[in-house]
Amino acid sequence: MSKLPKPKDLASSINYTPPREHWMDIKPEFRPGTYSYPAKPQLVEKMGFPNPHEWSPTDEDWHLPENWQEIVYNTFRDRLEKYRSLKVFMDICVRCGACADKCHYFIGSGDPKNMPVLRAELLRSIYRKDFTTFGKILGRFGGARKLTEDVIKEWFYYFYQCTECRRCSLFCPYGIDTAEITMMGREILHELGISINWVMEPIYNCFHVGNHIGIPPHTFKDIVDFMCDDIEEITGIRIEVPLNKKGAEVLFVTPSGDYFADPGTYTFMGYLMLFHEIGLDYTMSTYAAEGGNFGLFNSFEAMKRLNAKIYAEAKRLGVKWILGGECGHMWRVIHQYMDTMNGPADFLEVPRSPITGTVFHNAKSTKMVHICEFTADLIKHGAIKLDPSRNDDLIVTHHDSCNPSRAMGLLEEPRYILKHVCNHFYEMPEQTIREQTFCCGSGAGLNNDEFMEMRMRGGLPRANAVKYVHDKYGVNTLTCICAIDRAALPTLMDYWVPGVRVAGIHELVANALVMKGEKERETNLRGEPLPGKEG
Amino acid sequence: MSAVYSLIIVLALVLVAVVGAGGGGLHALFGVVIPYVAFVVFLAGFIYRVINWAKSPVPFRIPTTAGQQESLKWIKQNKLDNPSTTWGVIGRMVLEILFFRSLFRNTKMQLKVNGGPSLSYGSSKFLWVGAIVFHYCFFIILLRHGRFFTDPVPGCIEWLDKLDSILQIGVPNIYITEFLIVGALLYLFLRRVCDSKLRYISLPADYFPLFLIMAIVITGILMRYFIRTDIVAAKDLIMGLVTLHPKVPETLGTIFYVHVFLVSILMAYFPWSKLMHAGGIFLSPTRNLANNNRMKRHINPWNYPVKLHTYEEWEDEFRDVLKEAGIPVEKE
Amino acid sequence: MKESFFKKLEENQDKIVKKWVEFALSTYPSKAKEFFEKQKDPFLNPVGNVLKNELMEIYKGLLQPKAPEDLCFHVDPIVRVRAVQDFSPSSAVMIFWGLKDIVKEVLEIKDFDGSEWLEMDRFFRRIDQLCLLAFDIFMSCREKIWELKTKEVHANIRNILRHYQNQRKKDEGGS
Repeated sequence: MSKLPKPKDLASSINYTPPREHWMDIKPEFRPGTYSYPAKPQLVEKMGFPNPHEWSPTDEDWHLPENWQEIVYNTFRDRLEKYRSLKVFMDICVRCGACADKCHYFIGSGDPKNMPVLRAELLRSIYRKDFTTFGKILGRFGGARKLTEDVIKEWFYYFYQCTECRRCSLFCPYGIDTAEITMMGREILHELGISINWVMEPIYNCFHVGNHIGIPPHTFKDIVDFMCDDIEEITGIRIEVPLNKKGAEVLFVTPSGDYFADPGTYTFMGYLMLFHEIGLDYTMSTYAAEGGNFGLFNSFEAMKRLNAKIYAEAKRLGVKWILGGECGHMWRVIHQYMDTMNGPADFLEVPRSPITGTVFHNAKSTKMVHICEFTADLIKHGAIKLDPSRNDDLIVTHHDSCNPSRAMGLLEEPRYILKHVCNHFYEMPEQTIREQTFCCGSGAGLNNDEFMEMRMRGGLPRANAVKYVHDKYGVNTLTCICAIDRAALPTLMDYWVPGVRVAGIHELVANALVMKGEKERETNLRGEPLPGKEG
Repeated sequence: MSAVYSLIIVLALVLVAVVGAGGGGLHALFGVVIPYVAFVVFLAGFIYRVINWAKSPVPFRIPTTAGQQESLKWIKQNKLDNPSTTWGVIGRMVLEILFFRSLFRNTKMQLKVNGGPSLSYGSSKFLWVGAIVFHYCFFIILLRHGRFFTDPVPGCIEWLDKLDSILQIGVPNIYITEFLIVGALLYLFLRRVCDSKLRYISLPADYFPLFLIMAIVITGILMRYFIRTDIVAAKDLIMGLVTLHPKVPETLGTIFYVHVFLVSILMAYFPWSKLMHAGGIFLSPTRNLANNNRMKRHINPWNYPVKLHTYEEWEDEFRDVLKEAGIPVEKE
Repeated sequence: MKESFFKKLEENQDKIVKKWVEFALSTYPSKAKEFFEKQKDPFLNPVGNVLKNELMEIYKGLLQPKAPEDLCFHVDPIVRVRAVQDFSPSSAVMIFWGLKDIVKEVLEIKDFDGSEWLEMDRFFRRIDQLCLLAFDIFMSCREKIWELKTKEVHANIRNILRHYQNQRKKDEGGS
């Protein structure tokens, strides 16, 4: 945008004739704002991942390894043999189009290849050519095409324009899950040394240091101390946060976004205040200091390597069970992958709330409880005292984060909590919440700056629904239970619906939490005067 | 273009049957050999495809959850859209297979705000209706044909036949399903052609089955109402096939062979095409698994060990700063 | 006496706006155009619905005697969307200029007498103002994008900065 276009470009950009070509003939254009920067080869190398090399999306030559076609073929075959999901999804799509207008990127951009069905066809066309007899014989007539470097570029462009939110999978009559397709597409690219830095760097940091941005343990402690200072200022209570404490009952793991980025930090303060108030015997770990798992956005192997730390640390510290903070994709990994990949967790006990005595049977094998389940149970048993009027200046709506909604079904717990910690709560229209929730547009490793325009487009359906309740009920607070949401939604709101802030559920909990021995609170966690205490 | 190619192929197939069975008089080929071959291809192909799918394991339990999970006792679980038990999964699959539950979601109420908010229904519900009508009609017609394959004809088929012709219009009575299936096929075809999104994604393989089934339906209707066909002879031939004592009655017209030939093509084509969604839906991991992930460990048969960064390695690197910050360490 | 130009504009409102919306939608690829056109649910299709509703409001506004600056409220949602959709600045705002041709076409204006010419000129001046307004909004949206990028970076490192400031204080205190 910054460069002035030449008259020729100007003329070509004003083009009202729709593309007549077949989709296979249209190449993606790598324009700023629509793609993420490539992974630094040093990081790829240090992780021991295949084919690290310099390349750039805008270059003609991506410097693919010499036998790249063979690598693609072998990886594809291997994944077909390993994942029934992939094999079945490659075969059974009838192209009914039910998914076509369900993707937030399609709704926002109108790019036909952002229709989930076509995103999958990008892979399917190669599958037909390489793995089915009909495709081999019929070629394009049978929906097959030859694997060329342009196909690889197209895969990169569109598989990194999918947030793996699974909204399309909900509407597919056969349950075809584009997240699964995207994951396989990214795995194949990963084998060629093609990935994005916003995913690779967090993986590297998380693996070697313990969290996404590579905060070393002493800095982590420093940051936690700052938050305790802030809490003391607000409540008059000094909180101690146990780190790497052996023999604690509970290990608490949360996404690092909660302690390094605003407004996640307020949610983090909320956890600490809650734990202090109920006297929970817990510890955090500076080795497994990351709940999020960007490996999910790169390859199975990367995901497993990062996730293994949580159980390993739980074992070393000798805790009884694990409590997890508010996060989206983290909970996809924990709920659907962790036990299978790195279990069995037979060294842990079935989670039991030490405060209420509730046994969490739904987590009896994985032994990890979502903090919203934990807090909802506390509230149900009257174990904490709440003053929702402290949140009276907030008119709240709730964004169901994709993964907890469509890969878990955590829908009522956050709502139950919200209803007890604030007095003004309004739902967005029903086709945009719960299992039908719209993505923030920044998931699956795409919440980077260079992808900003695409994020704003993809987030438009979500923002639009917020705007509706903002205009109708004066909603000024959007709650969510995901660290990526907390990082991405403020930007989205700022652009589309100024005047709406973003908060984690536990920020509101902590605002309302009446703590034993606290001084009269003048401000909320953000240091703003509480309602009635202004001026 | 895709549609035109597919239409040409189907017309060519009709022509093959007309020339072969009509002109060439190859009744044994079109009445016996091809149906047998097609049936064997269908059966073997279907089984092969399902076994081939089943050979790949399901490494992770990845249901798409469409409602409240089972968690705390006092929170009401949505047992059908987010099942946590085998019975729940069966319920979900029944809804999915018999009532196209996921497609039905498309029919949600919609809010219009032009000139004040008002509720309306989106066009998307038509897809669900079209699909349901088509599949059920196809199924009923298939069952109705049971009267050609059984002797004596079971009561339930007779009953179904009566029910289908309950309107009692014309002689012979008109079947309701025949009209409905023509309508549904037309709808499914037109939406592919008229909606540019769908036109863009449609392959010849999407039009071909539509035309093929349409041709089968048309030849069927022609036989029943317009071109007299010797039903007794038809049943003779079919019973011959069923009892493995094939015989070829001489009184059957070309139209019968065209019908049978197209059905044979459909059978032989079925296992190698998208029509296998009929089998695939049962194996779809986002639908046929219970969301009991944290209750019961799912086993991945190819789970392999990966390179880890152990706590010991990590502590070696950060021991000094850990100690300085007062965080406990394993080795002093 | 001949009908006044503005009267004609009013009478043909629906027809003109319909064409205008079509024109605006035609700046998208065909598949997208159809979707933006047909999906009536404002939550499932914000892009198309914003265009339809706001262009109508803008048109009505242009017929009023008040200055087009008041239209900001309706121009903003359209331009805000286009500012993040692969459009060059000129093609993002040119949909507003397009109204001139549509008006000429619908009202079948070929030759006209003096008074009509003046009225049309008045109307077209408003369109020009509208376009400039749209351009201002477009630029502010682009500036907003850059501002948000820096804001995000800042939010991400606030605590780390705090840590290093703290460190420096400690170091200074120690030495």
